[in-house]
Amino acid sequence: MNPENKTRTIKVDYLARVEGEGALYLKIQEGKLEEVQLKIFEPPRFFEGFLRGRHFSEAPDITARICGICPIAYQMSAVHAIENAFNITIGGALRDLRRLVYCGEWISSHALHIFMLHAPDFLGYESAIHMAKDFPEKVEQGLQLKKVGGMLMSLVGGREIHPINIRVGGFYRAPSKQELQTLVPALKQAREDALETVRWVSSFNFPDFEQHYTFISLRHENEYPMNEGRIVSNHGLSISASEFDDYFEEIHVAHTNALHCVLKVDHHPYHVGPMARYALNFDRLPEPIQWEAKQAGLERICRNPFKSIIVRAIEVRYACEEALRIIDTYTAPAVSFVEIEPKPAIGYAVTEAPRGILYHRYQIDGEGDIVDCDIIPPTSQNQKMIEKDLKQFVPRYLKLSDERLQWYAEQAIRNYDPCISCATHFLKLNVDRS
Amino acid sequence: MTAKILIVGIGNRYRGDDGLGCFIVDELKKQATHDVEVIEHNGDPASLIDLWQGRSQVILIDAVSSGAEIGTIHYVDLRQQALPDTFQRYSTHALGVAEAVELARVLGKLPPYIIFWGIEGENFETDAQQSVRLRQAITALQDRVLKAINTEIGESQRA
Repeated sequence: MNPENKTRTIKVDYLARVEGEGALYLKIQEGKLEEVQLKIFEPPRFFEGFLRGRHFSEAPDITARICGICPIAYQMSAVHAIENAFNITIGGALRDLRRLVYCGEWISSHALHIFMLHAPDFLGYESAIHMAKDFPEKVEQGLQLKKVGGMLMSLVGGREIHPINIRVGGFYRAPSKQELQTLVPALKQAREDALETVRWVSSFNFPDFEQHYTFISLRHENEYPMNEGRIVSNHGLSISASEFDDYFEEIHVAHTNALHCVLKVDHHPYHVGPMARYALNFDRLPEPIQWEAKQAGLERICRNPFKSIIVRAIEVRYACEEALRIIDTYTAPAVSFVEIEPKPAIGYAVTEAPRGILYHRYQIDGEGDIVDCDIIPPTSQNQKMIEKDLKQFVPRYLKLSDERLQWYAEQAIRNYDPCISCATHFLKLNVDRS
Repeated sequence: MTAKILIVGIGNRYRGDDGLGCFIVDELKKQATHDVEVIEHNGDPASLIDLWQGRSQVILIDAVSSGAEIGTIHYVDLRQQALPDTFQRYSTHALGVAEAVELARVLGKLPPYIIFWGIEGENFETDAQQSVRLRQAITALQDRVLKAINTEIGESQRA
Protein backbone atom coordinates (compact mmCIF):
# COMPACT_ATOMS: atom_id res chain seq x y z
CA MET A 1 0.00 0.00 0.00
CA ASN A 2 1.32 3.44 -0.90
CA PRO A 3 2.28 5.06 2.39
CA GLU A 4 0.87 8.35 1.20
CA ASN A 5 -2.63 6.87 1.13
CA LYS A 6 -2.86 6.05 4.76
CA THR A 7 -2.77 7.79 8.05
CA ARG A 8 0.57 7.73 9.77
CA THR A 9 0.86 8.47 13.43
CA ILE A 10 4.26 9.29 14.78
CA LYS A 11 4.18 9.32 18.53
CA VAL A 12 7.18 10.17 20.60
CA ASP A 13 6.08 9.26 24.06
CA TYR A 14 9.08 10.70 25.77
CA LEU A 15 11.16 13.32 24.05
CA ALA A 16 14.84 12.91 24.74
CA ARG A 17 17.37 15.64 25.26
CA VAL A 18 14.93 18.25 26.49
CA GLU A 19 14.55 19.48 30.02
CA GLY A 20 11.57 17.81 31.63
CA GLU A 21 8.79 15.54 30.42
CA GLY A 22 6.99 16.10 27.16
CA ALA A 23 5.76 14.33 24.06
CA LEU A 24 5.14 15.00 20.39
CA TYR A 25 2.20 13.82 18.32
CA LEU A 26 2.16 14.11 14.52
CA LYS A 27 -0.81 12.97 12.45
CA ILE A 28 -0.26 12.55 8.71
CA GLN A 29 -3.28 11.77 6.58
CA GLU A 30 -3.23 11.07 2.84
CA GLY A 31 0.36 12.30 2.76
CA LYS A 32 -0.50 15.59 4.44
CA LEU A 33 0.45 16.73 7.90
CA GLU A 34 -2.88 17.15 9.65
CA GLU A 35 -2.00 17.68 13.26
CA VAL A 36 0.93 18.68 15.40
CA GLN A 37 0.77 18.60 19.17
CA LEU A 38 3.62 19.37 21.48
CA LYS A 39 2.36 17.81 24.67
CA ILE A 40 3.61 18.68 28.05
CA PHE A 41 2.50 16.05 30.49
CA GLU A 42 4.68 16.88 33.41
CA PRO A 43 1.98 17.95 35.85
CA PRO A 44 1.30 21.61 36.62
CA ARG A 45 3.30 22.67 39.62
CA PHE A 46 1.18 25.55 40.94
CA PHE A 47 4.04 27.77 41.99
CA GLU A 48 1.87 30.86 41.70
CA GLY A 49 -0.61 29.19 44.06
CA PHE A 50 1.77 28.45 46.86
CA LEU A 51 3.55 31.80 46.62
CA ARG A 52 0.32 33.40 47.84
CA GLY A 53 0.61 34.24 51.51
CA ARG A 54 4.39 33.94 51.50
CA HIS A 55 6.55 36.94 52.34
CA PHE A 56 8.05 38.79 49.37
CA SER A 57 11.54 38.02 50.65
CA GLU A 58 10.91 34.30 50.03
CA ALA A 59 10.02 34.71 46.35
CA PRO A 60 13.56 34.51 44.92
CA ASP A 61 14.31 31.26 46.75
CA ILE A 62 10.92 29.66 46.05
CA THR A 63 10.83 30.54 42.35
CA ALA A 64 14.45 29.40 41.92
CA ARG A 65 13.08 25.90 42.58
CA ILE A 66 11.08 26.02 39.33
CA CYS A 67 14.19 25.11 37.35
CA GLY A 68 17.58 23.54 38.09
CA ILE A 69 19.05 24.89 34.85
CA CYS A 70 17.94 28.51 35.01
CA PRO A 71 17.29 29.33 38.70
CA ILE A 72 19.08 32.68 38.36
CA ALA A 73 16.52 33.80 35.78
CA TYR A 74 13.69 33.17 38.26
CA GLN A 75 15.55 34.92 41.02
CA MET A 76 16.34 37.88 38.79
CA SER A 77 12.78 38.32 37.55
CA ALA A 78 11.50 37.94 41.13
CA VAL A 79 13.79 40.50 42.72
CA HIS A 80 13.32 43.01 39.92
CA ALA A 81 9.52 42.68 40.00
CA ILE A 82 9.37 43.11 43.78
CA GLU A 83 11.76 46.04 43.70
CA ASN A 84 9.61 47.51 40.94
CA ALA A 85 6.63 47.27 43.29
CA PHE A 86 8.49 49.26 45.94
CA ASN A 87 9.95 51.77 43.46
CA ILE A 88 13.50 50.71 44.19
CA THR A 89 16.24 50.62 41.59
CA ILE A 90 19.42 48.76 42.40
CA GLY A 91 22.50 50.31 40.82
CA GLY A 92 26.25 50.25 41.01
CA ALA A 93 28.15 47.15 42.02
CA LEU A 94 25.02 45.26 43.08
CA ARG A 95 23.57 45.74 39.63
CA ASP A 96 26.85 44.56 38.11
CA LEU A 97 26.84 41.45 40.31
CA ARG A 98 23.36 40.57 39.11
CA ARG A 99 24.53 40.84 35.53
CA LEU A 100 27.61 38.79 36.36
CA VAL A 101 25.67 35.93 37.90
CA TYR A 102 23.30 35.96 34.91
CA CYS A 103 26.38 35.65 32.62
CA GLY A 104 27.23 32.48 34.57
CA GLU A 105 23.78 31.03 33.96
CA TRP A 106 23.82 31.88 30.24
CA ILE A 107 27.25 30.20 29.85
CA SER A 108 26.22 27.12 31.81
CA SER A 109 22.77 26.65 30.27
CA HIS A 110 23.86 27.37 26.68
CA ALA A 111 26.93 25.09 26.97
CA LEU A 112 24.75 22.24 28.18
CA HIS A 113 22.36 22.66 25.28
CA ILE A 114 24.96 23.26 22.54
CA PHE A 115 27.22 20.33 23.39
CA MET A 116 25.07 17.77 25.20
CA LEU A 117 21.63 18.21 23.68
CA HIS A 118 21.77 19.93 20.27
CA ALA A 119 25.14 19.17 18.60
CA PRO A 120 24.43 15.38 18.47
CA ASP A 121 21.43 16.20 16.21
CA PHE A 122 23.61 17.85 13.61
CA LEU A 123 26.36 15.22 13.73
CA GLY A 124 24.02 12.24 13.58
CA TYR A 125 24.52 10.89 17.08
CA GLU A 126 21.85 9.49 19.34
CA SER A 127 23.31 11.27 22.34
CA ALA A 128 26.26 13.22 23.67
CA ILE A 129 27.67 9.94 25.00
CA HIS A 130 27.75 8.51 21.47
CA MET A 131 29.19 11.78 20.18
CA ALA A 132 31.88 11.73 22.88
CA LYS A 133 33.42 8.60 21.35
CA ASP A 134 34.28 10.53 18.17
CA PHE A 135 34.49 14.06 19.55
CA PRO A 136 35.90 13.65 23.07
CA GLU A 137 37.69 16.98 23.01
CA LYS A 138 34.49 18.81 22.04
CA VAL A 139 32.48 17.17 24.78
CA GLU A 140 35.20 18.00 27.28
CA GLN A 141 35.20 21.57 26.04
CA GLY A 142 31.46 21.73 26.59
CA LEU A 143 31.78 20.31 30.08
CA GLN A 144 34.49 22.82 30.86
CA LEU A 145 32.42 25.75 29.60
CA LYS A 146 29.48 24.57 31.67
CA LYS A 147 31.76 24.29 34.66
CA VAL A 148 32.99 27.88 34.28
CA GLY A 149 29.40 29.12 34.15
CA GLY A 150 28.69 27.09 37.25
CA MET A 151 31.73 28.57 39.00
CA LEU A 152 30.37 32.07 38.42
CA MET A 153 26.94 31.04 39.71
CA SER A 154 28.50 29.42 42.77
CA LEU A 155 30.74 32.32 43.65
CA VAL A 156 28.16 35.07 43.23
CA GLY A 157 25.02 33.05 43.94
CA GLY A 158 26.35 30.97 46.83
CA ARG A 159 25.91 27.68 45.00
CA GLU A 160 25.31 26.51 41.40
CA ILE A 161 21.94 24.84 41.78
CA HIS A 162 19.18 26.95 43.31
CA PRO A 163 21.55 29.70 44.45
CA ILE A 164 20.93 31.10 47.92
CA ASN A 165 22.79 34.39 47.98
CA ILE A 166 20.29 36.45 46.01
CA ARG A 167 17.76 38.56 47.86
CA VAL A 168 15.37 41.38 47.17
CA GLY A 169 17.48 44.54 47.44
CA GLY A 170 20.78 42.90 46.53
CA PHE A 171 22.76 39.96 47.92
CA TYR A 172 23.15 38.40 51.36
CA ARG A 173 26.89 38.75 50.85
CA ALA A 174 28.81 40.59 48.15
CA PRO A 175 32.00 38.88 46.97
CA SER A 176 35.30 40.73 47.18
CA LYS A 177 37.16 41.80 44.06
CA GLN A 178 39.88 39.28 44.91
CA GLU A 179 37.35 36.45 45.00
CA LEU A 180 35.99 37.41 41.59
CA GLN A 181 39.49 37.73 40.17
CA THR A 182 40.13 34.06 40.93
CA LEU A 183 37.73 33.31 38.05
CA VAL A 184 39.58 35.41 35.48
CA PRO A 185 41.96 32.73 34.12
CA ALA A 186 39.08 30.23 33.69
CA LEU A 187 36.90 32.89 32.07
CA LYS A 188 39.68 33.90 29.67
CA GLN A 189 40.04 30.26 28.60
CA ALA A 190 36.25 29.97 28.34
CA ARG A 191 36.19 33.05 26.11
CA GLU A 192 38.59 31.32 23.72
CA ASP A 193 36.67 28.03 23.95
CA ALA A 194 33.49 29.91 23.14
CA LEU A 195 35.00 31.37 19.97
CA GLU A 196 36.12 27.88 18.94
CA THR A 197 32.58 26.72 19.60
CA VAL A 198 31.15 29.47 17.39
CA ARG A 199 33.42 28.30 14.58
CA TRP A 200 32.69 24.60 15.18
CA VAL A 201 28.90 24.83 15.24
CA SER A 202 28.86 27.19 12.24
CA SER A 203 30.46 24.37 10.22
CA PHE A 204 27.39 22.12 10.73
CA ASN A 205 24.92 21.44 7.92
CA PHE A 206 21.70 23.35 8.45
CA PRO A 207 18.33 22.57 6.86
CA ASP A 208 17.28 25.33 4.46
CA PHE A 209 14.40 26.58 6.56
CA GLU A 210 13.40 30.07 7.57
CA GLN A 211 10.33 31.53 9.23
CA HIS A 212 9.08 35.10 9.35
CA TYR A 213 9.07 35.26 13.10
CA THR A 214 7.70 37.84 15.42
CA PHE A 215 10.72 38.17 17.66
CA ILE A 216 10.20 39.45 21.20
CA SER A 217 13.00 40.36 23.57
CA LEU A 218 14.19 43.03 25.92
CA ARG A 219 16.11 45.98 24.57
CA HIS A 220 18.28 48.17 26.75
CA GLU A 221 19.59 51.57 25.79
CA ASN A 222 23.20 50.48 25.66
CA GLU A 223 23.61 46.85 26.80
CA TYR A 224 22.89 43.44 25.32
CA PRO A 225 19.80 42.74 27.45
CA MET A 226 19.72 40.64 30.61
CA ASN A 227 17.93 42.27 33.55
CA GLU A 228 16.58 45.50 32.18
CA GLY A 229 15.04 47.07 29.12
CA ARG A 230 11.80 47.51 27.27
CA ILE A 231 9.96 44.61 25.70
CA VAL A 232 10.33 45.09 21.96
CA SER A 233 9.50 43.26 18.75
CA ASN A 234 10.58 43.42 15.11
CA HIS A 235 7.10 44.76 14.37
CA GLY A 236 7.32 47.96 16.36
CA LEU A 237 6.24 46.87 19.84
CA SER A 238 7.93 48.75 22.64
CA ILE A 239 6.37 48.36 26.09
CA SER A 240 7.36 48.20 29.72
CA ALA A 241 7.02 45.03 31.80
CA SER A 242 3.96 46.55 33.51
CA GLU A 243 2.16 46.50 30.15
CA PHE A 244 2.90 42.79 29.47
CA ASP A 245 -0.63 41.65 30.33
CA ASP A 246 -2.07 44.20 27.90
CA TYR A 247 -0.23 42.69 24.94
CA PHE A 248 0.24 39.02 25.79
CA GLU A 249 -2.23 36.40 26.91
CA GLU A 250 -1.95 32.91 28.33
CA ILE A 251 -4.48 30.46 26.91
CA HIS A 252 -5.28 26.93 27.97
CA VAL A 253 -4.83 24.28 25.27
CA ALA A 254 -6.34 20.85 25.85
CA HIS A 255 -3.34 18.75 24.78
CA THR A 256 -0.79 20.28 27.09
CA ASN A 257 -0.39 20.96 30.79
CA ALA A 258 1.46 24.19 30.07
CA LEU A 259 -0.39 27.33 29.11
CA HIS A 260 0.35 28.78 25.66
CA CYS A 261 1.30 32.43 25.74
CA VAL A 262 0.31 34.31 22.59
CA LEU A 263 -0.07 37.84 21.28
CA LYS A 264 -3.34 39.17 22.63
CA VAL A 265 -4.28 41.03 19.46
CA ASP A 266 -4.48 38.01 17.13
CA HIS A 267 -3.49 34.99 19.24
CA HIS A 268 -0.46 34.53 17.01
CA PRO A 269 2.65 32.83 18.35
CA TYR A 270 5.94 34.62 18.78
CA HIS A 271 9.58 33.68 19.25
CA VAL A 272 11.65 34.40 22.36
CA GLY A 273 15.19 33.38 23.19
CA PRO A 274 18.68 33.77 21.75
CA MET A 275 17.53 34.34 18.12
CA ALA A 276 15.09 37.05 19.22
CA ARG A 277 17.64 38.74 21.47
CA TYR A 278 20.24 38.61 18.73
CA ALA A 279 17.90 39.93 16.02
CA LEU A 280 16.71 42.80 18.16
CA ASN A 281 20.02 43.64 19.82
CA PHE A 282 22.76 42.89 17.30
CA ASP A 283 23.96 46.48 17.60
CA ARG A 284 24.36 46.03 21.36
CA LEU A 285 27.00 43.33 20.92
CA PRO A 286 30.61 44.51 21.01
CA GLU A 287 31.90 45.08 17.48
CA PRO A 288 34.44 42.23 17.58
CA ILE A 289 31.63 39.80 18.46
CA GLN A 290 29.41 41.24 15.70
CA TRP A 291 32.30 40.50 13.34
CA GLU A 292 32.71 36.98 14.71
CA ALA A 293 29.00 36.36 14.16
CA LYS A 294 29.28 37.51 10.56
CA GLN A 295 32.35 35.33 10.07
CA ALA A 296 30.28 32.42 11.36
CA GLY A 297 27.75 33.03 8.59
CA LEU A 298 25.11 34.81 10.64
CA GLU A 299 23.29 37.75 9.14
CA ARG A 300 22.24 40.61 11.36
CA ILE A 301 18.95 38.76 11.77
CA CYS A 302 18.89 34.97 11.77
CA ARG A 303 15.54 33.39 10.80
CA ASN A 304 16.69 29.78 10.54
CA PRO A 305 15.84 28.21 13.91
CA PHE A 306 18.41 25.43 13.36
CA LYS A 307 21.09 28.11 13.41
CA SER A 308 20.05 29.03 16.93
CA ILE A 309 22.99 26.84 17.98
CA ILE A 310 25.36 29.42 16.45
CA VAL A 311 23.53 32.27 18.16
CA ARG A 312 23.80 30.46 21.51
CA ALA A 313 27.54 30.07 20.96
CA ILE A 314 27.79 33.80 20.19
CA GLU A 315 25.95 34.52 23.42
CA VAL A 316 28.35 32.29 25.36
CA ARG A 317 31.22 34.23 23.82
CA TYR A 318 29.52 37.48 24.82
CA ALA A 319 28.73 36.34 28.35
CA CYS A 320 32.38 35.39 28.94
CA GLU A 321 33.50 38.77 27.63
CA GLU A 322 30.92 40.61 29.68
CA ALA A 323 31.80 38.69 32.85
CA LEU A 324 35.47 39.61 32.41
CA ARG A 325 34.52 43.25 31.85
CA ILE A 326 32.40 43.33 35.00
CA ILE A 327 35.08 41.70 37.14
CA ASP A 328 37.67 44.13 35.79
CA THR A 329 35.66 47.21 36.76
CA TYR A 330 34.13 45.80 39.95
CA THR A 331 34.59 47.39 43.34
CA ALA A 332 32.88 45.59 46.20
CA PRO A 333 29.88 47.59 47.48
CA ALA A 334 29.83 49.08 50.98
CA VAL A 335 26.57 47.28 51.71
CA SER A 336 25.39 44.11 50.05
CA PHE A 337 21.71 45.01 49.95
CA VAL A 338 19.23 47.82 50.27
CA GLU A 339 16.65 47.54 53.08
CA ILE A 340 13.06 47.48 51.87
CA GLU A 341 9.92 48.64 53.65
CA PRO A 342 6.87 46.84 52.31
CA LYS A 343 3.76 48.66 51.19
CA PRO A 344 0.72 47.53 49.25
CA ALA A 345 1.84 47.50 45.64
CA ILE A 346 2.07 45.61 42.38
CA GLY A 347 5.40 45.08 40.66
CA TYR A 348 6.42 43.74 37.29
CA ALA A 349 9.65 42.56 35.68
CA VAL A 350 10.87 40.81 32.59
CA THR A 351 14.42 39.49 32.40
CA GLU A 352 16.22 37.47 29.74
CA ALA A 353 16.48 33.84 30.84
CA PRO A 354 18.78 31.75 28.61
CA ARG A 355 15.64 30.55 26.74
CA GLY A 356 14.00 33.98 26.45
CA ILE A 357 11.97 36.51 28.34
CA LEU A 358 10.66 35.52 31.77
CA TYR A 359 7.78 37.60 33.16
CA HIS A 360 6.97 37.94 36.86
CA ARG A 361 4.17 40.00 38.45
CA TYR A 362 3.62 40.25 42.21
CA GLN A 363 0.82 41.90 44.16
CA ILE A 364 2.03 42.51 47.71
CA ASP A 365 0.12 43.69 50.80
CA GLY A 366 1.18 46.12 53.54
CA GLU A 367 2.76 43.31 55.56
CA GLY A 368 4.93 42.32 52.65
CA ASP A 369 2.96 39.14 51.90
CA ILE A 370 2.28 38.07 48.32
CA VAL A 371 -1.43 38.33 47.53
CA ASP A 372 -1.24 37.26 43.92
CA CYS A 373 1.43 36.58 41.33
CA ASP A 374 1.93 35.49 37.75
CA ILE A 375 4.96 33.78 36.21
CA ILE A 376 5.30 33.27 32.43
CA PRO A 377 8.45 31.37 31.43
CA PRO A 378 10.00 31.43 27.97
CA THR A 379 9.02 27.86 27.03
CA SER A 380 5.32 28.67 27.53
CA GLN A 381 5.80 31.54 25.15
CA ASN A 382 7.64 29.44 22.56
CA GLN A 383 5.33 26.39 22.65
CA LYS A 384 2.94 27.54 19.96
CA MET A 385 5.84 28.79 17.85
CA ILE A 386 7.47 25.35 18.06
CA GLU A 387 4.24 23.77 16.78
CA LYS A 388 4.10 26.31 13.95
CA ASP A 389 7.72 25.54 13.01
CA LEU A 390 6.83 21.83 12.88
CA LYS A 391 3.77 22.53 10.73
CA GLN A 392 6.00 24.31 8.21
CA PHE A 393 9.01 22.04 8.47
CA VAL A 394 7.68 18.49 8.72
CA PRO A 395 5.70 18.48 5.40
CA ARG A 396 9.01 18.71 3.54
CA TYR A 397 10.09 15.40 4.98
CA LEU A 398 6.90 13.33 4.83
CA LYS A 399 8.43 10.81 2.46
CA LEU A 400 10.99 9.87 5.09
CA SER A 401 10.57 6.87 7.36
CA ASP A 402 8.92 7.46 10.70
CA GLU A 403 12.29 7.12 12.35
CA ARG A 404 13.96 9.81 10.22
CA LEU A 405 10.91 12.04 10.41
CA GLN A 406 10.97 11.79 14.17
CA TRP A 407 14.67 12.70 14.18
CA TYR A 408 14.05 15.92 12.25
CA ALA A 409 10.97 16.80 14.27
CA GLU A 410 12.79 16.37 17.56
CA GLN A 411 15.67 18.44 16.24
CA ALA A 412 13.22 21.19 15.30
CA ILE A 413 11.89 21.16 18.86
CA ARG A 414 15.35 21.23 20.36
CA ASN A 415 16.07 24.40 18.36
CA TYR A 416 14.21 26.12 21.18
CA ASP A 417 15.98 24.38 24.06
CA PRO A 418 12.54 23.90 25.62
CA CYS A 419 12.48 23.63 29.35
CA ILE A 420 9.41 21.66 30.29
CA SER A 421 10.02 21.87 33.99
CA CYS A 422 9.74 25.62 33.58
CA ALA A 423 6.68 25.51 31.37
CA THR A 424 4.61 23.51 33.81
CA HIS A 425 6.03 25.39 36.18
CA PHE A 426 6.38 21.59 31.59
CA LEU A 427 8.36 16.35 26.27
CA LYS A 428 7.41 12.38 24.79
CA LEU A 429 6.69 12.17 20.10
CA ASN A 430 3.59 10.64 18.60
CA VAL A 431 3.40 10.55 14.68
CA ASP A 432 -0.08 9.43 13.57
CA ARG A 433 -0.06 8.30 9.90
CA SER A 434 -3.55 6.96 9.23
CA MET B 1 43.47 17.84 51.48
CA THR B 2 41.10 15.82 49.38
CA ALA B 3 39.55 12.90 51.23
CA LYS B 4 40.30 9.43 49.93
CA ILE B 5 36.69 8.37 49.66
CA LEU B 6 33.98 10.53 48.14
CA ILE B 7 30.38 9.65 48.93
CA VAL B 8 27.76 11.45 46.84
CA GLY B 9 24.12 11.48 47.89
CA ILE B 10 22.02 12.24 44.82
CA GLY B 11 18.51 13.57 44.75
CA ASN B 12 16.04 16.28 45.62
CA ARG B 13 15.01 16.52 49.26
CA TYR B 14 11.67 18.03 48.29
CA ARG B 15 10.48 15.11 46.14
CA GLY B 16 9.69 12.39 48.62
CA ASP B 17 11.86 9.30 48.19
CA ASP B 18 13.98 11.08 45.56
CA GLY B 19 15.79 12.66 48.51
CA LEU B 20 16.87 9.27 49.91
CA GLY B 21 20.47 9.70 48.78
CA CYS B 22 20.64 13.07 50.53
CA PHE B 23 19.19 11.79 53.81
CA ILE B 24 21.45 8.73 53.83
CA VAL B 25 24.61 10.78 53.39
CA ASP B 26 23.47 12.96 56.31
CA GLU B 27 23.75 9.89 58.51
CA LEU B 28 26.95 8.65 56.93
CA LYS B 29 28.51 12.03 57.58
CA LYS B 30 27.93 11.49 61.30
CA GLN B 31 29.09 7.90 61.40
CA ALA B 32 31.93 7.51 58.96
CA THR B 33 35.28 7.21 60.66
CA HIS B 34 37.57 6.91 57.69
CA ASP B 35 38.90 9.65 55.48
CA VAL B 36 35.59 10.31 53.87
CA GLU B 37 34.07 13.34 52.15
CA VAL B 38 30.31 13.27 52.00
CA ILE B 39 28.35 15.59 49.72
CA GLU B 40 24.89 16.06 48.35
CA HIS B 41 24.38 16.50 44.60
CA ASN B 42 21.55 17.02 42.16
CA GLY B 43 22.99 14.63 39.56
CA ASP B 44 24.09 17.16 36.94
CA PRO B 45 26.64 15.24 34.78
CA ALA B 46 29.11 18.03 34.11
CA SER B 47 29.68 18.84 37.74
CA LEU B 48 29.49 15.17 38.82
CA ILE B 49 32.31 14.23 36.43
CA ASP B 50 34.27 17.20 37.59
CA LEU B 51 33.64 16.30 41.20
CA TRP B 52 35.15 12.84 40.96
CA GLN B 53 38.26 13.86 39.00
CA GLY B 54 41.38 12.80 40.85
CA ARG B 55 39.35 10.60 43.22
CA SER B 56 40.26 6.99 43.53
CA GLN B 57 37.15 5.82 45.39
CA VAL B 58 33.64 7.12 44.79
CA ILE B 59 30.31 5.88 46.12
CA LEU B 60 27.07 7.18 44.61
CA ILE B 61 23.82 6.78 46.55
CA ASP B 62 20.48 7.44 44.87
CA ALA B 63 16.85 6.48 44.84
CA VAL B 64 15.75 4.04 42.13
CA SER B 65 12.45 3.30 40.46
CA SER B 66 12.92 0.06 38.50
CA GLY B 67 9.76 -1.81 39.32
CA ALA B 68 11.50 -3.92 41.97
CA GLU B 69 9.95 -4.38 45.39
CA ILE B 70 9.89 -1.17 47.42
CA GLY B 71 12.96 -1.04 49.64
CA THR B 72 15.11 -3.28 47.43
CA ILE B 73 18.76 -2.38 47.74
CA HIS B 74 20.58 -2.16 44.41
CA TYR B 75 24.37 -2.49 44.03
CA VAL B 76 26.15 -1.72 40.76
CA ASP B 77 29.93 -1.75 40.25
CA LEU B 78 30.06 1.02 37.68
CA ARG B 79 33.54 0.04 36.50
CA GLN B 80 32.02 -3.25 35.39
CA GLN B 81 28.63 -2.19 34.08
CA ALA B 82 26.37 0.74 33.25
CA LEU B 83 23.34 1.61 35.33
CA PRO B 84 20.52 -0.57 34.02
CA ASP B 85 17.96 1.11 31.76
CA THR B 86 15.26 -0.17 34.08
CA PHE B 87 16.41 2.27 36.74
CA GLN B 88 14.03 5.07 35.99
CA ARG B 89 15.86 8.00 37.32
CA TYR B 90 13.99 10.97 38.61
CA SER B 91 15.71 14.10 37.49
CA THR B 92 14.45 17.45 36.31
CA HIS B 93 17.43 17.46 33.98
CA ALA B 94 17.76 16.03 30.51
CA LEU B 95 20.90 14.28 31.65
CA GLY B 96 21.50 12.52 34.93
CA VAL B 97 23.72 10.12 36.83
CA ALA B 98 23.67 7.33 34.22
CA GLU B 99 24.73 9.76 31.52
CA ALA B 100 27.45 11.18 33.77
CA VAL B 101 28.86 7.68 34.32
CA GLU B 102 28.78 6.76 30.62
CA LEU B 103 30.21 10.10 29.50
CA ALA B 104 33.01 9.68 32.05
CA ARG B 105 33.62 6.12 30.84
CA VAL B 106 33.93 7.29 27.18
CA LEU B 107 36.17 10.18 28.19
CA GLY B 108 38.36 7.99 30.39
CA LYS B 109 37.33 9.92 33.48
CA LEU B 110 35.72 7.16 35.53
CA PRO B 111 37.41 6.70 38.91
CA PRO B 112 39.19 3.36 39.49
CA TYR B 113 36.61 2.44 42.14
CA ILE B 114 33.05 3.66 41.67
CA ILE B 115 30.04 1.99 43.16
CA PHE B 116 26.35 2.82 42.88
CA TRP B 117 24.08 1.98 45.79
CA GLY B 118 20.37 2.53 45.33
CA ILE B 119 17.13 1.95 47.19
CA GLU B 120 13.92 1.22 45.34
CA GLY B 121 11.69 4.18 46.25
CA GLU B 122 7.95 4.48 46.29
CA ASN B 123 6.88 8.09 46.17
CA PHE B 124 8.59 10.62 43.93
CA GLU B 125 6.02 13.38 43.76
CA THR B 126 6.84 16.99 44.52
CA ASP B 127 6.30 17.73 48.20
CA ALA B 128 5.74 14.04 48.94
CA GLN B 129 6.89 12.65 52.28
CA GLN B 130 9.55 10.00 52.47
CA SER B 131 7.94 6.59 52.42
CA VAL B 132 7.84 4.95 55.90
CA ARG B 133 8.20 1.51 54.26
CA LEU B 134 11.80 2.37 53.46
CA ARG B 135 13.13 2.92 56.99
CA GLN B 136 14.49 -0.57 57.34
CA ALA B 137 16.12 -0.47 53.90
CA ILE B 138 17.71 2.89 54.64
CA THR B 139 19.30 1.58 57.82
CA ALA B 140 20.45 -1.56 56.04
CA LEU B 141 22.02 0.43 53.22
CA GLN B 142 23.76 2.76 55.65
CA ASP B 143 25.24 -0.25 57.43
CA ARG B 144 26.42 -1.81 54.19
CA VAL B 145 28.03 1.41 52.96
CA LEU B 146 29.70 1.97 56.32
CA LYS B 147 30.97 -1.58 56.28
CA ALA B 148 32.31 -1.06 52.78
CA ILE B 149 34.02 2.16 53.81
CA ASN B 150 35.47 0.71 56.98
CA THR B 151 36.56 -2.62 55.63
CA GLU B 152 36.69 -3.22 51.93
CA ILE B 153 37.81 0.24 50.86
CA GLY B 154 39.78 0.74 54.06
CA GLU B 155 41.63 -2.44 53.34
CA SER B 156 42.48 -1.26 49.89
CA GLN B 157 43.74 2.01 51.40
CA ARG B 158 45.99 0.23 53.84
CA ALA B 159 47.16 -1.95 51.04
